[in-house]
Amino acid sequence: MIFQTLVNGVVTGLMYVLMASGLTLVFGILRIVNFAHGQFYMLGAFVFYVILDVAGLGFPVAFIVSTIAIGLLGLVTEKGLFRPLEGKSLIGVIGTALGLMMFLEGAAELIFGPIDRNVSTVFPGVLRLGGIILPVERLIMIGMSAAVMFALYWWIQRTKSGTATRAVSQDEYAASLMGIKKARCSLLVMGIGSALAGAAGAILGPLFFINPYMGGVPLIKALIVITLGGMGSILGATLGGLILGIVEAFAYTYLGGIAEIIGFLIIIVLLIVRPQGLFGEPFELAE
Amino acid sequence: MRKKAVFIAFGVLVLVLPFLVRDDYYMHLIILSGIYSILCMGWVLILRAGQFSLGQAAFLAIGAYTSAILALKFALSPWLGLLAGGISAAIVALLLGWIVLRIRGLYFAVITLAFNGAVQLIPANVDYLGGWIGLAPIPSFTLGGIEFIDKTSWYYLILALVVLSGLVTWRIERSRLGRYFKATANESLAQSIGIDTVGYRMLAFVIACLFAGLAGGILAPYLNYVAPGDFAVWKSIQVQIQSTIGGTGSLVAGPVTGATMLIILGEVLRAYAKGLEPLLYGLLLLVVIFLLPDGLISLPGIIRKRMRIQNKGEPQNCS
Amino acid sequence: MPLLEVKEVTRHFGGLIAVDNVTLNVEEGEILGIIGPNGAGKTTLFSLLSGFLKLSHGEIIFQGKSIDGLKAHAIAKEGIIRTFQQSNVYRGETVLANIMLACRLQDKVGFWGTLFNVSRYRREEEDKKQRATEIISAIGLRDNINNLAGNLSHGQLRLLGIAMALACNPKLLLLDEPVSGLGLEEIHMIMERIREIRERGITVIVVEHEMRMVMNVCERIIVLNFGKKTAEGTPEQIKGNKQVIEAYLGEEQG
Repeated sequence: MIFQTLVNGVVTGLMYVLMASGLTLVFGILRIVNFAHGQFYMLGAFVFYVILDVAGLGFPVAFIVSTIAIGLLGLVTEKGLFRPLEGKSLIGVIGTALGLMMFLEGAAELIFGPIDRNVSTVFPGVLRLGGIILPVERLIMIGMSAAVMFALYWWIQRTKSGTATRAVSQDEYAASLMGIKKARCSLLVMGIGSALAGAAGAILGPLFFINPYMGGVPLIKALIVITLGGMGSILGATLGGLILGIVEAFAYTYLGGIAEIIGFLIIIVLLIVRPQGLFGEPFELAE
Repeated sequence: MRKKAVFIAFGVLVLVLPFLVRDDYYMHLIILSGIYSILCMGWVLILRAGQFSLGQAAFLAIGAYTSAILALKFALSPWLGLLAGGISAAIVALLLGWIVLRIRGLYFAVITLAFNGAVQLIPANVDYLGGWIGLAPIPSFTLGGIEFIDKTSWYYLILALVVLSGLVTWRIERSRLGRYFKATANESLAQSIGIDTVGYRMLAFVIACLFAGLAGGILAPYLNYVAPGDFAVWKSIQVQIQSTIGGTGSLVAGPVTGATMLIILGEVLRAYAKGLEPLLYGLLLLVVIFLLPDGLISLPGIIRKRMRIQNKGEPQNCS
Repeated sequence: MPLLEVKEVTRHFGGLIAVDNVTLNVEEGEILGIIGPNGAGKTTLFSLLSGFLKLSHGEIIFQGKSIDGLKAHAIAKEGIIRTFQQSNVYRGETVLANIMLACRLQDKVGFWGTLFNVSRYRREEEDKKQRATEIISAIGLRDNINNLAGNLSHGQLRLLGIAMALACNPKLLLLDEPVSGLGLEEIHMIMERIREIRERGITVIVVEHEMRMVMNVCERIIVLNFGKKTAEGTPEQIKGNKQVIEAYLGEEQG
């Protein structure tokens, strides 16, 4: 029983990691407030569903299209909505993100209707190891989460654009002296981060059912994960997600529904006492 | 002279409204607008002092649940419940503010958002507080032997609270207190001339949450039930959106306008399609932020200015 | 007893020591100058004295009372008022509004009196307006009293910043580079004001690069370099000090 709970926790945790991957990049590293991250995830799931089940074009096509489509959405959002208001009033920055969030959820509800939909299972079957039950789908999901985080880590540490982004996040002025423009990085990051959100939706959507309101949870979980793991730390986000998943799994088993509150408490407590989370660069929030 | 006449006409209209609107459904919307107006005025007050709250619905909840518990489990009068609702919301605001008000900007917003989420979950998971289904039925107010059942009595009660909240907020805006609130925008300058920025933010926060709690103390008996679903984070976001669309330049007119317009508009649209409400809110918010940053309230002024510019070429009559 | 005692005050940022074991006293009624090359720690010292930065080590005693650890607005209340480099004022407000804001520390009527607009409150605001007008006239901004601060010239902005500090009734005034970037005439004007301020019994510490001004106005000068106090004395003594001259080789002489 304990081991099954642990396995469930790890699996859920990796789901959270996947949900958070895009936001880690966007908000954790470049502080872009994309409250619509959850809706990007939701739209990724819907595009996947439409391509797979409605158009019948198979898993690879569905996955690629949903990833790219949401990535493009991210680019448009950054260029059209976020960039013009960057650095201006808080209402502008936060309000725009919230407005987009509402708009996308409403649009999805209008287009797809409020009902739950089931996406066909691409990878059926269940694995039994010892007493542990693990659906094949989830195994695939674990693999893809790991792959995504590795790729993200590799990108930010080893590539020119990733290093440039890290430079901008640490010291925008110094980076500009070296010819690195924040606007370009923001665009790139929003593109990749949004694509990740879309991919997460495509991977995780089939695991449950999908509806236009499913964006709220991933946003909250992503926020918790990056607060816990540390803004801007990919390793931190991975560990943060796992910790959250495992803690929640045990809390649900032993405490029931109230376990939901743990995530919120983590955000509040961490932002007060240790805003940099587990692995982030230390920074001061309070005055 | 004309402004005063408009004012008086408006006041009379507000006073006799229940006798003009004889439809229960519309009165319900107007009463809800009153509740949200109070939340929005508080939100803008907090904004004026330099903070961005995404958790006002939590304080509405605290007020509502306090009043409900006192009425249902302790058989206390709803009037006491109303008072207790306001006070408990203010106390929680004081405690929370003590810890988190020194944190600024986006992170404060995230904390209030998380706080709202957490507060919503507490009654949902505690049987004594009714769980997800909530608590009902909640006894109504009685004044001078008359029980508040008719929409009219509820209207006047909410109107009284809106007027009270509006007066306090308006007074603050006009007085030096409002100027000190605004001054906190330049943190270092304000501190250098002896303005306790965190202290003023605390004051704004407690006042706003006090009124939110009082509003909750009216909401619970009005709806005749309390349930966690009414106090979701989405409600706090609605407050922010209503206030922004109405206009944050003024502490009273903007928020009240925004709340009323959006509640009514939202309900009207809900009749046509459920998905339209968040769509409308989102779209309007984006339009206002980009095209009309001072909110709907600024529209008459802008139109007047445009007309004056157009009339500049004409011979001077009276402007 | 000195008005201000700064004892072994140190402040570091990570590995960087901005202010290194600085000890000095300020006597009541004097005009003290602090000079040093850029990055010597002068503004950091001001931020420490006025409560905008916390001490890493050391003690600050003002009028016999320890003030380290107090928040900036509390220190303002104690009577230490600072100005900022590059004039920090409320540009969207009028000159009068700015000064009236700066009179905050003299407010006696509390929240409830303000809320109910009692006669004591209104009288207090009237008196405040009068006092503000006097301050504005004394500093020389009478003609601009109802102009937006954002429309003032550089020199006028400096005057406004100083006027705001004066409105707080300081016992100790910390002026951070009050004449940087100003023309000769404006520099003279500010020098006059500083002397007038001292005539009123206010102690002044001036941080400046403009050498002629410092030598003319200050009675005593302290030299900072790399966060340490390297010299202390009268203007004549400092002028002749070899180390000081070396430190300034290459720096613009005013």
